[in-house]
Amino acid sequence: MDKLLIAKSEPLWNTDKRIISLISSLIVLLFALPHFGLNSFYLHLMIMIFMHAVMAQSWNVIAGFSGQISLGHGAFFGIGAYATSFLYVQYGISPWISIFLGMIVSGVAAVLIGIPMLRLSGHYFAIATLLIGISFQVIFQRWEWVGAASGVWVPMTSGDSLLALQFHSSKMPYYYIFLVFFIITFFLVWLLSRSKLGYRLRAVRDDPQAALSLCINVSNYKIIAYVISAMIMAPMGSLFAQYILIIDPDRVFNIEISIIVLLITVLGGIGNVWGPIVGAAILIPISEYSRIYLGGTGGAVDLILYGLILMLICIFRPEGLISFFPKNILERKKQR
Amino acid sequence: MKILSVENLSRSFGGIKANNDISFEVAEGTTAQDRHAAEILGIPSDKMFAIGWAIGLGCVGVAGGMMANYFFIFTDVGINFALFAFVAVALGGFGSIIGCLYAGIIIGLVESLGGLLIDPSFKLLYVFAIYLLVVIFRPQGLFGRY
Repeated sequence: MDKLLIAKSEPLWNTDKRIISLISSLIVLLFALPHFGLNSFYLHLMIMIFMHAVMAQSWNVIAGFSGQISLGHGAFFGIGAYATSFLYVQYGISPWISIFLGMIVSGVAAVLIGIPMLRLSGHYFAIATLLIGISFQVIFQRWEWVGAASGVWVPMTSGDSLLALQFHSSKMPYYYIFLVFFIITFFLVWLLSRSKLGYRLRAVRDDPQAALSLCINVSNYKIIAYVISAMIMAPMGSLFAQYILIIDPDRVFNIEISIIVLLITVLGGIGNVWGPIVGAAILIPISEYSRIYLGGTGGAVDLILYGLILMLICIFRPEGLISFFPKNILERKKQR
Repeated sequence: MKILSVENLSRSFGGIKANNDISFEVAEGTTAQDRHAAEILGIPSDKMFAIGWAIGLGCVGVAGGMMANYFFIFTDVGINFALFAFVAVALGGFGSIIGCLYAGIIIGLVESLGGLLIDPSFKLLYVFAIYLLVVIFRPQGLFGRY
């Protein structure tokens, strides 16, 4: 609560030097990582971690910062995926442009959904977004213009093409593209969490009525958070569509996307900028490795183990895995 | 409304100590609204949650047993109904018993009639549209209080 009293945004240089050096060395390490001879499985694992970390960060903005539980975030992922693939197939627009078109479309969709829905409170909003997410899936399954249930098949270019965002010889370019998006997103959300807007969003989360009494327009700030969240989610859908090159409604609008995003954030630490990284870096390898080592044994042992680990973490670390770090080390201020 | 047997059940669980003439429904409602305040009043909120789970799952068990007579059974069968259960509770209003009944009837009618009269492939959407429409004009559901 003491943060609410600081009404001005904090500049980034007002951070502990050790944190800055830790983050920059981590970034250098991630850029150098593919040159240590990672095979394509590890590259795929890293790409999935980056993608899920950004998706979880998107959910963290709406649920962690402004306190609205949305269960339909798969809709924005799907909008982003369809924007790039469909525009490329039908009109030949480069995915680099349609990533931003997808962001704009999902931002507009978030405004249209947010204005009537964010008046609802708590469970009612969560269930409304859940239904909207499923509605998108049902509509896209029947919509002939965008390929109905068979989805969109992106035609493959003959070789690697930066313009068409397709790389067939190696996963390395995808790694760097996802990494750049990951770093940009986390940097922007870090800025957001230290800005006036971030403090106002947390005021709305902690107590809407107290925020209202401080002249914070609660419903406007909820919509702003929803739009930011949707615009973070859409590029990941676009890049995922370019990564697998075939999308269908069952995959990109799946309810599992909305759920996994929630799981990662809650596991890593909700309301914390660094929580989604920790959550994704733990959860994605666990799910992949348990599938590799136990998936073939039959009887879904891998899923049982996965669920057991989730339950144990939820019982013993309700604040998320980020609480293993010393308290507030990531937000420590420079000593003056 | 007092559910006597359930109240006795809650007492036998070592339930309400400080305030003996509080009914079970009030105790559950208090816990739902504010568990810390409920604990101050001597209502053991953990036990209330556990009993609430038990009653809810018991109801689902009865529903499942009745359904098994005319619906095909497979391991994932509950997922088909879980979504409509959420919608029914939210449409009727959380915490309202009669609301659940009316919402269940509305959902069943809308799903069947919409599929029959308009287009069966959009069955889910009619139910969702009804829910969204109701909730836009009445954010607490049809019979909800909060």
